[in-house]
Amino acid sequence: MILTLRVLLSHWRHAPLQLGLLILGLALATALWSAVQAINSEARASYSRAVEQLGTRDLPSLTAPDGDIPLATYVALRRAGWQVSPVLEGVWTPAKESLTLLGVDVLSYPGAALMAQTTPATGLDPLAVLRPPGTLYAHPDTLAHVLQDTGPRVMALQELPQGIVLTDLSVAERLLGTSGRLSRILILPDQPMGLLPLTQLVPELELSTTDDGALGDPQRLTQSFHLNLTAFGLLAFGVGLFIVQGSVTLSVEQRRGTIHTLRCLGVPVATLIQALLLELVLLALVAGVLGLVLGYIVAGFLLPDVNATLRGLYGAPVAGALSLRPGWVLSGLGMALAGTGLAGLQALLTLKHMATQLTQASQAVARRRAGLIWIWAIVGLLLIGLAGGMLWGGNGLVAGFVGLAGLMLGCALLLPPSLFWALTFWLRMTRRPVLRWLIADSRLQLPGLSLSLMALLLAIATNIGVGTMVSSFRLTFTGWIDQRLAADLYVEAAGPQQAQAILTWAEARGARSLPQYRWTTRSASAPLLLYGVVDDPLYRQNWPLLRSLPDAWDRLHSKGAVLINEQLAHRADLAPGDMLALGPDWSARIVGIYSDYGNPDGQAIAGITTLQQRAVPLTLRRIGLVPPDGETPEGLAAALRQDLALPASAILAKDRIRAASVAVFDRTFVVTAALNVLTLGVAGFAMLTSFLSQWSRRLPQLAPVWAMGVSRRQLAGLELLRSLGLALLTFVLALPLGLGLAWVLLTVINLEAFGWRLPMFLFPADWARLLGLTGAAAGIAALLPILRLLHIPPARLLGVFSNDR
Amino acid sequence: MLLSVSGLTHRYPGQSRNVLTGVGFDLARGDSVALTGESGSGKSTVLHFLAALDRPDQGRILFDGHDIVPLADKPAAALRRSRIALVFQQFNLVPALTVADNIALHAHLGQRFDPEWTQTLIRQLGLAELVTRYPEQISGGQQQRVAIARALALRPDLLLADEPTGNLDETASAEVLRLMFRLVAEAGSALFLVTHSQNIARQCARRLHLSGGTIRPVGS
Repeated sequence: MILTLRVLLSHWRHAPLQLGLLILGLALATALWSAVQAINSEARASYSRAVEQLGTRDLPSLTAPDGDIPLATYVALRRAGWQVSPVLEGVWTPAKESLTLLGVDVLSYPGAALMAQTTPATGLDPLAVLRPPGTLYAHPDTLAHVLQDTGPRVMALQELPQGIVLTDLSVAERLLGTSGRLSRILILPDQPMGLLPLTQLVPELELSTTDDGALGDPQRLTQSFHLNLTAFGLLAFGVGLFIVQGSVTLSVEQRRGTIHTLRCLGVPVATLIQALLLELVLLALVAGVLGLVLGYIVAGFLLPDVNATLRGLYGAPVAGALSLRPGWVLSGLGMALAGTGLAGLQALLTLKHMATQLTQASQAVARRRAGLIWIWAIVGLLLIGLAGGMLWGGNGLVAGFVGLAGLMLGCALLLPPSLFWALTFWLRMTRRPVLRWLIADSRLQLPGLSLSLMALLLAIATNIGVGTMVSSFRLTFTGWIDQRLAADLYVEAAGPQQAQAILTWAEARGARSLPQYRWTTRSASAPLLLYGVVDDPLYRQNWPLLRSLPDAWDRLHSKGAVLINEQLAHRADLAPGDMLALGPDWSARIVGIYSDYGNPDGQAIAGITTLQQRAVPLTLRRIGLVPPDGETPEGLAAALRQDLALPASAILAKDRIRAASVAVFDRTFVVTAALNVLTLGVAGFAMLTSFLSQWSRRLPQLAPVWAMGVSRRQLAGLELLRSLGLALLTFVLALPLGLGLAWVLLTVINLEAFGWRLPMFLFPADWARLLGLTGAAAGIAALLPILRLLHIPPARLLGVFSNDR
Repeated sequence: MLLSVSGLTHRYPGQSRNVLTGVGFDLARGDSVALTGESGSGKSTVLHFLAALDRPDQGRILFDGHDIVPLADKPAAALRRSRIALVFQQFNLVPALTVADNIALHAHLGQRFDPEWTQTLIRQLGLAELVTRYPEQISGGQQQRVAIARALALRPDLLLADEPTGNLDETASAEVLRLMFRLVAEAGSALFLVTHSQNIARQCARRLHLSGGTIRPVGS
């Protein structure tokens, strides 16, 4: 067996380029897959750290379906013997940035041990946290940027996630302006025997095993994003495997003579197959290690952008740097081995076939393979049918992705038959001899080129699909933000007094004020941010409503109705006309649903008079201003700064906010764009390997045509034409698939992942750019074989006529 | 004179001795010449020079009075496209094309396609039943008949044949040669045949023998 392996391996001495391409192809595939896995595992580890350090992982908690829990309920539970811990949670804005304030009972909260760790270092008594003015714990970065001179003493706690402030319950109540109400009650692990069940004690509360607060496990929130990245990684891996499949199968074809000789020398088929398997394992290990190194480098480059995306979309940044995990290394090598095994399956079958039917001509094999192309079509159509069933009938994000994968794979399988039939039709239509030869020859080559063209189809479709999704999102987002930013100026007040002073000043000056009062509460077992708005025509004219009842704004202001954001409507399955629970004795009619992109949480809008009548604890930090007739926004801003001594940074023009928001949006999708380009690059590489692989088989087909008077330059031109033509045909077929992909992403995946549905727009200019890129990739892929053809010595071509094929 | 060869001298790269030294001969329209010689004596190399597929180190090859040795790739290709046809031992059919398309290919390329003449060739070479098949679906003898039909469909001024029956058994070989000589005469082409078989060479009007890099006539 070892001798057989040595003989098989000796082939690569004569084909170093092919060996290099094969290893590089597999390494690239492993690299992109393992890069994505490195990012995902880093993010998951970061989330796990955050949740574990807060000490609340896997703890069940009680929540009120219609809002806050009275403190009395907690007291009742304690008196009944239950070991519970109260949590008050809310949005707190000490400076410009909002933070999540977590008020806990330091004596019972599982994560309180963390707080105690810090006190010895500072020389403070551990009980100091309970003494006025109280203590706030936060990550050093949070402390440095947002927690300056807030009243209570502040302490750095490295283990806390960024944007979270941990403190005693009483301090949190004071800072949030609430009293006697809790957000959640944690059920601690060790409970005495013989307790009354919770369903009897607190029937009005819901028991949940997952943390659904703002500090809820970010893994849940970001699951869709990581699934998205995994899908991209898997796609790139699949595309890379096409390269491996092509190269390995070709290497077996090239060793036909050797295999013939070995068979004649008495080597059994089983030994040949075992030797090839061993060869594949060796190649996979070498390429796998190289892929892991490349993957680690790619992940290092992408991690900052992924962090930006996670922060932008979910508010869940990944803390820490990339680290080398044994699980990641093993899974990368495992994928390389499994992928090579899968990609080598055809090569093994070819070898088995070849070893048992040595006399069959390779052209006959190719033609027989081409004749079976309708099987591809049937399997492709079946997969598309199954995908359709999944997308229409299935539920959830995983069903969406499975449907999407089925659709893409099905269409990829339809590509070779479609190209075959298109070329056959064209062959019938054309009379020009060279063109006829080119078309017929391309048709014969299709089985060898199919996989790389399928890879190209997937890459183009993904580019179109994801590009259309991102561009549609961007267009919708910019239109939406223009609508949402109805006022010309936005002023950030440092506190309630200053906010009131701004309102008074604006009224005196004749400017219209659009104050954004806010209140953080709970509804449908989840946090809800409720905005109070004044009755101003700008809202009626501009606010982007997706669905609404007639006279929605009138009912909002006069009948206590509310508008809710799309995310809340989707998550709680609410529609205009339904009721939204806002408190134990307060439900409001929903009169409309508005789009609210880039926000993971539920939101609602009510009339300010309704909220004031209900005496809810409102905060006011941001005020929109519209200058009176004859005054410019700049003039108004200058006067405001001068009269109220406001810092320049407190007043933002609409355009600046818009530009900043769009910049955040664009940064959010940097990773997507990078993966798009990388996938197209891998597909281009797959084409290059296919063309190079075909090259050695092409000479016997090119030489007779050259001998008949078609010059090498013409042949080179025809090769380029073939490459571009096949890429163009693939592009034409990829376009509808890409648009289908975009539709699924916009209407199914986005809705499941983020809670919002987006309209789909078409961007023909982007397609033209992509077509150019595809042409460039196909041209570059064909360049090396073309250059070889242009410079091939006649003696090499003449060798075809004198040597045995 | 269709072809006038003089002073052909050539040495393969890396070899110390010339494979051809001052080779010269003439070929008139309608004439047939067989070139014989040992294996490796350079017979095929001469044929490649005559087809402008390769270039000798020295010497002249006048085709219709024009030296084709210095021709660049493009005019050389144009010459083969329209006036010179080749038949090889390995048949060298285009695997992607059917028998019919293979036969018509060269004539189409040279813009000299004559459907009637092509049909005559197909009929006389017994290929009528095979026109829709692909090369690998027919036997070696049939493939060589397709190669001859392809070459003659052009009505070339010069037909160059390199061991055209080297891959065929005796019966098939005799049949193919009989048809080739008859059709070459009908087409009015000159034939330059490379073979190591004296039996086949005898069927040509003249015989040349290549040995030690030089050519000498054989028989009368």
